[in-house]
Amino acid sequence: MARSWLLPVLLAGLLTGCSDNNIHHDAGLVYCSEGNPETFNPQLTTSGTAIDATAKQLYNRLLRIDANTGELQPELALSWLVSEDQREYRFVLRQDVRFHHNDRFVPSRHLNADDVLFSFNRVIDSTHPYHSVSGGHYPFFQGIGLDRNLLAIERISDHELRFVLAQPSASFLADIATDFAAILSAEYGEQLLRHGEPERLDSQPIGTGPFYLKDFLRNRHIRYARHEGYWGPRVELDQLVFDITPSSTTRVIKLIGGDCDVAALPQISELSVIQRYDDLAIDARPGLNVAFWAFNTQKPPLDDPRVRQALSLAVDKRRILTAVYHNTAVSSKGLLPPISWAYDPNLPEFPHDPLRARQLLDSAGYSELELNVWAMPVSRIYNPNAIKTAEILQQDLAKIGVRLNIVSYEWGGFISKLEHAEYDSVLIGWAADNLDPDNFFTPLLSCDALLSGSNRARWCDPQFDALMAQAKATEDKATRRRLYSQLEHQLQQQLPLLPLAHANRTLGRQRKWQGPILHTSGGVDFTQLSKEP
Amino acid sequence: MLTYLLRRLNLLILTTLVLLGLLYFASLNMPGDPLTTLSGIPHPSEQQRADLTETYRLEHGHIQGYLAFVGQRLSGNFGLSQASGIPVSQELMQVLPATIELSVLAVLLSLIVGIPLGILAASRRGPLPKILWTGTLLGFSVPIFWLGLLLMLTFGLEWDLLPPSGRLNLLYDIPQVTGFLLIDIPLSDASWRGAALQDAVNHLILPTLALATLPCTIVIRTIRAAMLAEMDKNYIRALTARGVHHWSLILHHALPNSLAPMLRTLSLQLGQLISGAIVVEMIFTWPGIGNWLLSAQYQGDHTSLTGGILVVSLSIIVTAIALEIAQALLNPINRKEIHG
Amino acid sequence: MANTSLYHEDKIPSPWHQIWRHYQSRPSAVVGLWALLLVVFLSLFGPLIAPFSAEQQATEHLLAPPSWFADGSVDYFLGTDALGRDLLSRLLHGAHLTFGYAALIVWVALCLGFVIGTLSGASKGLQSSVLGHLLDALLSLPSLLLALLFAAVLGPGAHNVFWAVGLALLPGFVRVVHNAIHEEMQKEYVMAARLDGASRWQLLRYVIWPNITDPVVVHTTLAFSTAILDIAVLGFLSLGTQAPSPEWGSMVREGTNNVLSAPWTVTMPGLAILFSVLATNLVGDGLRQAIAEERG
Repeated sequence: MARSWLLPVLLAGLLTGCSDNNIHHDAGLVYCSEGNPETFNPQLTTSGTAIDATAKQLYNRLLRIDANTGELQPELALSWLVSEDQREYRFVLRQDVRFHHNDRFVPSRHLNADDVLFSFNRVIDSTHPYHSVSGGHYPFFQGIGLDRNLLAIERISDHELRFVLAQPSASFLADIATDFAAILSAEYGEQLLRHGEPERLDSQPIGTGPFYLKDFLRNRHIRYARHEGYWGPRVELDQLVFDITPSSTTRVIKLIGGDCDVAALPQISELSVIQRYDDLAIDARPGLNVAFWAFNTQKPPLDDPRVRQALSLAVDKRRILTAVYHNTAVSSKGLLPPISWAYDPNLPEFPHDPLRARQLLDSAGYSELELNVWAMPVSRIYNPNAIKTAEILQQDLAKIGVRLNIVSYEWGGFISKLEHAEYDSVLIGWAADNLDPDNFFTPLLSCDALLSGSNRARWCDPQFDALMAQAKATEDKATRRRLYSQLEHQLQQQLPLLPLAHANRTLGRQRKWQGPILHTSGGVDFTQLSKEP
Repeated sequence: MLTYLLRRLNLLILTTLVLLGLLYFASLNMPGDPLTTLSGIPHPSEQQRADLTETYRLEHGHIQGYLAFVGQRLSGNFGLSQASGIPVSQELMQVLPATIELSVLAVLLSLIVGIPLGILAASRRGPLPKILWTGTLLGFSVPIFWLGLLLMLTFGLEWDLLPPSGRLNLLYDIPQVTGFLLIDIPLSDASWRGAALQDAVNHLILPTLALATLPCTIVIRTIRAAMLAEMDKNYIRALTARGVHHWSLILHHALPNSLAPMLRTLSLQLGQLISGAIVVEMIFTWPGIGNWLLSAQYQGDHTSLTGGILVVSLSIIVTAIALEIAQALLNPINRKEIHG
Repeated sequence: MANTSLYHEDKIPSPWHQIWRHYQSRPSAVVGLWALLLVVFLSLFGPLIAPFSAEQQATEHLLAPPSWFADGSVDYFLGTDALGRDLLSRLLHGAHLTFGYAALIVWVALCLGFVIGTLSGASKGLQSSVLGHLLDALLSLPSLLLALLFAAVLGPGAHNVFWAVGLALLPGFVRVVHNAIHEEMQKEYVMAARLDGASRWQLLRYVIWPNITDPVVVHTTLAFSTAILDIAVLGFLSLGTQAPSPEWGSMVREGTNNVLSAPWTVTMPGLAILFSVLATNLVGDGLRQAIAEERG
């Protein structure tokens, strides 16, 4: 046969070269990521893919959350003060922070209060020239209501500002330490406005972060290079490349083949494969996330709580945990994962009871039911395989006489079609951005979040909203814990969504790279990596 | 000769028009707004709608519309990619070289390997013809996606000899000049271009092997059949009788006459080659037109899809005609046989 | 019609009988025939033999290896996939989707190709030339591109496979029939029949058709193996039948998600495709050789 004859010859010629596989750049790293970022401005999105590609690489925030302790630490702000009534926050900025430059923009000054004003006013001020650029949606800020709660930001001096809130909010500092609250360059914004091309602010970003964007080719790669004027500790990587590889198997294959140094979201069944190779390692962290099945509560028959209950009772979560998560995830009782401080260990597990499910359906007057479930086409931190999950749901529901049709689109299209809310139900999830428990509730189930689009259940209940607001405004941790437990109980009764699992966050990497990549609060960070000597 | 060329040109034009008609018809019948499908603008404004309707002459009946479509496409306006907003032609320029590089190498490989093996298979002694027959039968029957996966699993992962996926380690940032890595790398002035070239070649091996299997078996079979037919002819007998050496007979007489039928068969298999390339690209995540077409299909980006199909089919047609002309040059008798 | 019989009535065995004798003398061809019969049998009765249904999921046996592995179990002879579905059962249920569908498509393309090829082969000049060009344009589009186009217009589904593979096969049939008829028409015995006063229909039916079966039969076997491979490729690219369907190509695709941890999810359906195509090609090869020996 032709091949058998050919291979040894070709291989013999090439093996000499193969052993010399050292890459020229000793300090370059390829990260196999799972998809295209929809934007390069983290304010505009809640997608983990976009956040990974922007927040920690290109930008800084006023504060940051310490990767290990979860405590707030200064970043662009040197220090801050909270007023007596918890409504005023005063920040003092660093003075040595340089912005990136690219072939169209060279900054003339360092970061000052104008940039912070520019970044936040864009979100909260609907008359700001940039407010409606690139869609005008700020899902995170609108989801938590910060766009309305943040009354004003006052400039005190070049490097001092004051934030004024309408209501005290216990989570405010944590909110502005999230990956979404990036600080952009006001000078760049003005220049683009003069040239009549404001969208470039979000597609050709200028930030203060450890890397600047060199180029981005859709479906192919994102190239970053080290920001030489970075104010923070020196970064060892001089090149960072995101290799956009939607298939998780391909990512692991590239990791083994050596074309990737770090691979995002390996499938759980592939973890053992990675372990077979001596030069590869797995990073895992308990995830601050939840996968859920959201019902479109504004669309009949799912506006009927009995139907939602029936569907939820029919689901056998154990099968999903085995088949989809290979038992590496925790079955979720509510939205909060066990590592959250507000987690209530006494919350009962939601039962699996197909018989009662059938009775409920009968009592609601549905002998036969046909619904669709939208399943994400890509693996996410919280759900490695939504389509497989949907297939299991399909079987479970068939047992109570409900026909479930699976719908899926390419990720970009999926997200944009979700906004139109034509689905009956959707399998999706949430990866939290900070350790505050509110992050699991307000963005997902508040009436505000209905507008920003992150409320997939289309759930808007005044009483539920009030309880969430109360829990958010309270300062005392014990009270808050009790309030969140109440919310979880209500959730189990109303079931706008059925929480399924809390997944571990994992990634595969070449052992030669040392240092943390995953943060508890989400996102990937390559600034502390160094190569084994 | 001139009439012959004119006839081929005529054929090229006719086929292109038929093809464009098919694509135009398909574009109008695809789900979604025909204006969006034709132009690639997702939600055209009123002004844009008016302009586009004028450009594509949609209100002047199908014939006018078709002619406008032909005009736009042939002048290089393929619309915008609905997914990225970049002109389709520009995206095509980026992905096409990768596919051409892979396909040309695969064909070259199949010729280099196939022609000698075909000659050997035509000998009437020894076990070799039997072995080659079995080999080509397998090569004919194996699904290309499965073969690709198998190559990747064994050489790429199990033995970890060759890169199992991709075209080049992304840390090598090669500026695009021609799009062909094997040309662009030597053109670049980086100090590490030697290592980069080595890396590019390593990445090429497995996809090329997977893609070359089918053409290789075809080359072996046609060469063998043609050689057998040729060796029976009287002039060969006459030459043998005059004492011309066996190998000299093969190389100087039988082989050149066998190349024409081989070219003909290969040109009929161009479509299969492109199908194969698309599948191989998907398996090895090769950043060529196959992956690009599949992702356009998956994203419902019909503008890119039709543009890509047009370019791929046109290249098949043009190559086929070029091969036919080459074949006519090799064998003048063919020219008479061709009826247009 | 006894008076139009132009041929000797010798006691020699019929040509097909002779071809069969040649065929039988080739062991590889006989093996191929048995293998092909097996595949035909399985695609007809596979669902009856299959131990499980195609969709049944054994959640406690996810990605179970085939029985000959140390930790395999005989219950799941070829192992299970990521959802715990028995691979053997899925292969048996899917046989008619890949193999049977190929047979259907080839049959339809053969009939249509025969009609069009006859029309164009028996006619001359412009008519045949226009038809030829139309078909050439189609021929330049491989089934995969056609399937992409059909999937875009009609949405994904099994009907794309039918249209795409069928349309891609059709020109080949037309060409073979056309060329064969064209060639026969030049021959003297046809001229003799025509001089005898045979009408055009009689000429086709009794004189030409019996003499073009050889190339058509050979081409049909070739087209059949192409059809199986094309269907599998379309399934693999999920342009044809969709996810839960046990079509062999789409099984390979689903398997690629687990190819690292459970390679058998890819190798088993791949082997099934290889086996049926190989059987078809062995039979085709044997037929071609036997016909050549008979005619030669």
